[in-house]
Amino acid sequence: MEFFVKNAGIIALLPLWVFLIIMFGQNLSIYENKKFTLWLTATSTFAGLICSSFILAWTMSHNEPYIQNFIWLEAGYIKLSVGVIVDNLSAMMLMVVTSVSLLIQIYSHEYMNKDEGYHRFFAYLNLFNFSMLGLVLSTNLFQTYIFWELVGVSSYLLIGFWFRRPSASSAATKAFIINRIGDCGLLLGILGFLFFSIIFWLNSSDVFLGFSSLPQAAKYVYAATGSTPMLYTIIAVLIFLGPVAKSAQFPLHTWLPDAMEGPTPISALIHAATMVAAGVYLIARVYPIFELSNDAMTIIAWTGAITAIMGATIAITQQDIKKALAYSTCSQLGFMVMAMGAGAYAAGLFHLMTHAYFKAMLFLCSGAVIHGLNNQQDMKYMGGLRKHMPAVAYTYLIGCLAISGIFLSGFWSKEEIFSGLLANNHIVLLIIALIVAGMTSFYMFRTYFLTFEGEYRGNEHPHNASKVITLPLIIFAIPSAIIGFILCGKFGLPSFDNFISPTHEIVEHSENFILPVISLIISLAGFGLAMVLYVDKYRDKLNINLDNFIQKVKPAYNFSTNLWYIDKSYYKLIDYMVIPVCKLMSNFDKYIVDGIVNLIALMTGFSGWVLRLFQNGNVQTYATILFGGLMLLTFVLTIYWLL
Amino acid sequence: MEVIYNLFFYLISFVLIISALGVVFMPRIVYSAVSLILAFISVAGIFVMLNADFLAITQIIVYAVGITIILIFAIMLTGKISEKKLWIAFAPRTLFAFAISGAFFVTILFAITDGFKLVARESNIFSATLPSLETIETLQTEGTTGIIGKALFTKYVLPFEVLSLLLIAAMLGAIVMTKKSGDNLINHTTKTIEED
Amino acid sequence: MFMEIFSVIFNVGLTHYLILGAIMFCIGLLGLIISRNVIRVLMSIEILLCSVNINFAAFANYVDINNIQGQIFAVFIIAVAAAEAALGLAILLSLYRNKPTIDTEEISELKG
Repeated sequence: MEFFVKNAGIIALLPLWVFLIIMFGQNLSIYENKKFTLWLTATSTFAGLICSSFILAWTMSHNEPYIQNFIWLEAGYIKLSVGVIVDNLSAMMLMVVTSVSLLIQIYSHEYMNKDEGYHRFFAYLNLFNFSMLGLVLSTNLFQTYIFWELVGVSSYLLIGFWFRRPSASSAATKAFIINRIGDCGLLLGILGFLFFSIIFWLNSSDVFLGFSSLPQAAKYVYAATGSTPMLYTIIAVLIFLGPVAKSAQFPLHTWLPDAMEGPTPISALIHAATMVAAGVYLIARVYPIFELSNDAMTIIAWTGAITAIMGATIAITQQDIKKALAYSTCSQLGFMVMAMGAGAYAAGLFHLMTHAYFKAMLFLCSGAVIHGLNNQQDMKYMGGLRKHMPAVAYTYLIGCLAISGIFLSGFWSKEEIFSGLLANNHIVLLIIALIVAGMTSFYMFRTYFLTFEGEYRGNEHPHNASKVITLPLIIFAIPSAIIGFILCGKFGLPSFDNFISPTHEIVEHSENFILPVISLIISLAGFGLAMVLYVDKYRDKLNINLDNFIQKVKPAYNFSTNLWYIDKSYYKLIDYMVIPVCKLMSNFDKYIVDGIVNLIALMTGFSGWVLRLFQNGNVQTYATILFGGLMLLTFVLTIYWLL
Repeated sequence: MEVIYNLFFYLISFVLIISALGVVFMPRIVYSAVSLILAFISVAGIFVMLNADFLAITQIIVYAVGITIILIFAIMLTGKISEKKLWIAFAPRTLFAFAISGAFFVTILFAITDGFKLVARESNIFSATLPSLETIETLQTEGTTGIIGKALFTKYVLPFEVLSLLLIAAMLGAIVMTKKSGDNLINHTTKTIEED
Repeated sequence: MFMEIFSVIFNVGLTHYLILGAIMFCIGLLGLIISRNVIRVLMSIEILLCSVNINFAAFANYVDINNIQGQIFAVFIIAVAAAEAALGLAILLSLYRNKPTIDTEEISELKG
């Protein structure tokens, strides 16, 4: 086991190697074998999974993290290093990333089989795996930032995978630009943090910005900026901007629903399970920085809360199944961030893990449905698909139960978040969280009922998914169903809290059963409401007309379908603020910068024209110039010597 | 003695300058060649006045005979061209040439005479001294050939050998360049020179 | 005043020879540049070399009468000038064969 821990970097490097093989092999037409690509990718990920399991087992028995560092570049006294950290947090993330991506790779083989960009897809997939695993294994903020950007690039490439579609390429650009905003903040935050803690790092034996000395460094920075706590809060919030963009939190979330233009396995892997969770992971990594500032924690918690409720309200009215799931992802990420900000560190990470499994599974199910209906994503044209694809329907149902918090894994992780909120006296947040939980249940079952129950409303003939697609779904169903229960820490089962936060104080749960029961009741209420509104049988029985119902709540409905008017106001902002400024700059560039360049070119042309007069090919002209120069030289030297 | 020396200097200089100008400005190239012979002989005279008898003889043999004959051959071989129009180029560079030559001359004059101050024999800028009469007499009776020969075969033997190499190379180069590609240099019975 | 000028003129020394060399050099330079005939250009080069030789001989006579190294270099220059003249003629002839002209205005192959 020591061996795997010491060579944990291999897990990240294997996908890079495979990426290079596929990229060069395919581009140089060395091979054109899809099986080979799949086996190469899956084998490397499987090897990573095995290593991750051993590493996980090792971390169970070791409290001290294993850290390995190499100096990458030295600039004066600043040394920046890259390395590998193995502790409980990274072991958990490794496990999640490798297992989810292995299943998704197998699924993608079938899903992308007919696509001409099959090899490119797998190459990008491996690039993403490399970046994500590198991000997880980073020992310092600097390395984290590098992989953070790499993850963003792979996400960009995969969102724009079908780049011939204008919508896909613009979605990719949008994701990239919005992530730039966040990354800019993150970089500024890191630099600000480094600026105040540079003396600490010089005296420290740890590498620059290393995670293992981050608590002391944070204390040092807090002391260094002691006179102005505002400054410390600003640094913390700047760092938090990175996760805000990457995890699609409230002001910068708009890229995530658009990112659904990418292939569905990508939505499952990157935009539901792993990359968007990277923001939460980063919050967990730099938690010592946030912990010291109450203001920053409050901002984080409220950002999460707003995102959660916004995602939930928008998801209720979405007609596109993937968009609904995307807003649901937003909402769940808001849950995690809220838990982090409220101090329920372990609960947030627990929800990250359970969410990774069930949301990946839900996306894969939606992918199977879309695949089966020949790229039909609108739920208006679905319905009754349970008869055509039972395996998909039942796994989707399991996912819905899990995310809604009805007994399956989501129940346990959400329950921890609720009790964490309660223990930290965030009553308002708790109420919001409970409301959102009910809404979650409602909109998830709405999608389920619209898709799988009732009468089929579409035109395409639905065909069942093949075994390669259903197998990963069924495998995913297992952790989605039980992982929350296994790690809940009750009934003598192992506790995720104890595992993940050996250094943090563990909040003693008051073993009351009121909160779980309330959350269960709320979830069941959401479920019931969805059933009443969206199952034809019950609707007819209760004599409810859905359109009338919508008419009654028209303003709220419009607010939701228009995505809270956030995108529209952004576009207005861009139209009236950004574009005029850009036009001004463009004109400056066109007339002043280009003018200077053209002037220089004109001058060069003129001097060339003058010089060309001398280059007439006549030797005697050259002799004239030569002797003219000699004369001048003689003249100058004579004057210099004699006067 | 002095006066005769001076008179001879001015006479030869006058002939030299006039003939040099003739080389440049004679309308026909053959006149220029004749003028050039005159100039070379005048330079030999100047050498004699500078106690350089070997140089003077070499000058006459190599320049006034050898090189002039080469040039006259060149004139002969290219003689079909109408000569009148090939006099002086009426191009911008001609003006520049006059200006540069004039300025060059003034500058050199300025430098030689230490700013137009020292034109007299005593001018000391190059630490020049009148050679003593005995040395001159020795030189005039014995000639400079012995001194030059000794120097060439002792101190300057390496440059001398290199010079011989240069001459061979120049000769070979001249032959190779002027032969036609079809010429057979070994067997001259086949075909020697074609008329152009 | 008159006597001064007279003495300057009639005391021929190093300076006079140098001035003669300078005049020769300038005439050679002029001929080099303004001639249209290639053969005249070659002649001008010979005049240039002669002017240098005059300088060498003058310095040998007035500065270095015992070793006369200037004369030795003049000998070298004469040899090199002979080689140059031969080569110049060869180049001239091969040029004339390729393009029947000796007009420098028409020889502008260096323009490329």
